[in-house]
Amino acid sequence: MNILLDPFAYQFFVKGLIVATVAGALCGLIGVFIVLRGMSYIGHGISHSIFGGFAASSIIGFNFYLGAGVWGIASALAIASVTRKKLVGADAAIGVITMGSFALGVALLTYFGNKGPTFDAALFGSILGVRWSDVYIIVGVLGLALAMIFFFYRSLLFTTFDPEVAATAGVNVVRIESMLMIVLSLSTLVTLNVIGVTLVAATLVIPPVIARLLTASFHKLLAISTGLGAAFGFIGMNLSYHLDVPSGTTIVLIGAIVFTLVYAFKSVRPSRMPKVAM
Amino acid sequence: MTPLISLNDVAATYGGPDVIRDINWDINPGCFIGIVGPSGSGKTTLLSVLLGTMKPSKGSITRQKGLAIGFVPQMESIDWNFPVTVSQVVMMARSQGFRAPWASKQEKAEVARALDRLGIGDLADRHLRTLSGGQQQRVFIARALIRQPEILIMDEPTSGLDVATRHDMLHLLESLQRDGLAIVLTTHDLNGMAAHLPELVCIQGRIVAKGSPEECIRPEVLEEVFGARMEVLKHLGVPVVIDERKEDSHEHPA
Repeated sequence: MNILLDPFAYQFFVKGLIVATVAGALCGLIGVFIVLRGMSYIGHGISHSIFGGFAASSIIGFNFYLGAGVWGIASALAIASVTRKKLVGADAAIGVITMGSFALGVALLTYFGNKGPTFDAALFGSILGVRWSDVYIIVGVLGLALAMIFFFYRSLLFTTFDPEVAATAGVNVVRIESMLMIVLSLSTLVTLNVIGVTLVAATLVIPPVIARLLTASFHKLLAISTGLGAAFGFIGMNLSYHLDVPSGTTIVLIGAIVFTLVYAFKSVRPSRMPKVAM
Repeated sequence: MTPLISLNDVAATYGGPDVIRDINWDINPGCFIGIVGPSGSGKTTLLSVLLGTMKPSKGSITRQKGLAIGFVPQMESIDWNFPVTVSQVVMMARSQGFRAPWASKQEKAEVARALDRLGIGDLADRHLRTLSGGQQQRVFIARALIRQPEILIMDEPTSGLDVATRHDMLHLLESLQRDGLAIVLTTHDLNGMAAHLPELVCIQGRIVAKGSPEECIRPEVLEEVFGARMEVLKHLGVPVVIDERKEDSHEHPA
């Protein structure tokens, strides 16, 4: 038992644990809308895009959150705008905009050298650099996401289910999509410290996909996905400490293992799939 | 009679050549009109212009002040595995602006009334994917009716329905129209529309013909709209279309 409690003696671990748990909950919550919109790849894209902002702000000595945040939001809004015009598909827009940004980040860091967090820490996550200010920021972003979902729950549901009809019914689809993209960018940004650029997408996708296997109710989906994300963050952080493996990898591996188990169970026992659970 | 929607010399494009052009059309209160044409003829583009989701590249469109439009999309565009119940789909029509996530008593009563009116009141808590095609169609009509529209616009409402369900659907629409609702729908189904709708608009980029089924369903109009020669017979006073090419190939195999 003492072995399990050992890491709690370290401030850096406690801060990292809080951030990982809240980040998991946040990504699980926002991920529901992303997965149901068929945009699972966007989390992967935005995290890579933010890496470009991370590199640029690191080089010019600008605040990481402001620099990378503005960069990520601009990328997400550009993706949403390009996708809406339907000249190219969402996957193509995500690929071009975010990979271009990622390549720029790599080029900048290679040319000018890194003055901020290490390259590895950015890619795979590290809890060593987590400060109390990071904790406050991620809790703030979770509060923002909850407020957005509370006040615009119906519009978010309608635009996720049927955006074209939502527009004809008087819902401001552009505003709702822009809000979601901004919150998604902020969620990705504040999650990068612990999860890392390469694995953020998994925290957005795995919890809602598992939750979808467990319920056919939208509000239960939100609750289960949020809970699963938080649990993966908490357990993954503890495993990261004990196994001495980067936190991002353990958090994602826990999610992947749970997904495999649930999927296998549902494949063997399809009759237990929820029919109507509202 | 003041038209609900009036299109004057309207054209629309997605960036290339005009998809629809020279559209002059008044949609009057209480009408029941079928827009007929093959795939690519501009039916859906015309609906988008009527709905206001697409701006004309030329001409003008005038809608009655405060006009409420209900829209029922093509069923093929729906994600049937989306985790929502019938009542939640209908409630989506009340999504504008700031609203509490949960439905008020009044909203629940509105949803119940709309579902009862369409004969699916007992399905409120069912998941969408557990319904039949006709029931699913009714759910989306209920969602459109919640906003108490003056006009209901439907994209291919009879597509994918079996003959009996299609007849039920068209009878339901007739009863809604008798209650004063204007209905405009698109369709490929010439014979079904000729039997039920008082007015058709045949399009192939432009309006080729409009008027009663007898005025529109004529071989020369159908050849221009569908690019195929068709024979038109009369059955109980209603025009019935027969594809001549199939007849020919059956009688004279190559």
